[in-house]
Amino acid sequence: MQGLKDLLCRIASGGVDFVLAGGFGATAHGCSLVTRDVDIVCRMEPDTLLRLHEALEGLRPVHRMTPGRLPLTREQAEDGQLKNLYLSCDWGQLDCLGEIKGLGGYAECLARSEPLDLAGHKIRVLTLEALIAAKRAVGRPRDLHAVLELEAIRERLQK
Amino acid sequence: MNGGELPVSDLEKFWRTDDELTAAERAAAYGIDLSLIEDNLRLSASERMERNEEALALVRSLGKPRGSRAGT
Repeated sequence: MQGLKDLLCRIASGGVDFVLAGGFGATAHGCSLVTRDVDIVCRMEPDTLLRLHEALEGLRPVHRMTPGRLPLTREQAEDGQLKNLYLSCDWGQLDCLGEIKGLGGYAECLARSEPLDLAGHKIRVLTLEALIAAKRAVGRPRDLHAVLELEAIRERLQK
Repeated sequence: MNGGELPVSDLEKFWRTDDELTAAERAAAYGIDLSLIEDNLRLSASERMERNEEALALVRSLGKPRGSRAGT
């Protein structure tokens, strides 16, 4: 069965410029928490969203937060009015964010990212420092576990 | 992990970094199993993601009604 990693590779191979963030970004750095969605930061502009729409073709992407879970359409991608996308598709859940609290938009996140080779695909993931900053900025009780793990990982890697 | 069982007021102290604990000590005090992190750090990022998939599949299978099987 295809999963979140395959979903990331699919988006990358579709030419979508993005930075991996959130729980799956933390997974990439060694966090042990299990996550069931992929968070990416990207430019919420027609060019990017059209590439995303094409990359997800055949995976039946729907807006999972809306009543009726309506499908993501090409018209919506072209429209350029979307600020964030909370999708569910056959390979998992995908959140596309225009900005990350504590960090900023795509350009700021890109500046605080590092390369990651994923099954031959070159993607970008937020650095450990940036992930910690983002999760601290959000500050929800459920982010605490990830913050503590990420800070322990940072300390371990500095030794 | 027992941190999730603590009242929110008790969680507050774990956000602080002026407690003279190392990050590993703070995480352990919260209830995090540091051996899981050590295991993960021996893997590549790609392998860590695959491990997440395996754990997610396990969670999903446990959430299914008794007698049901994947793909049915």
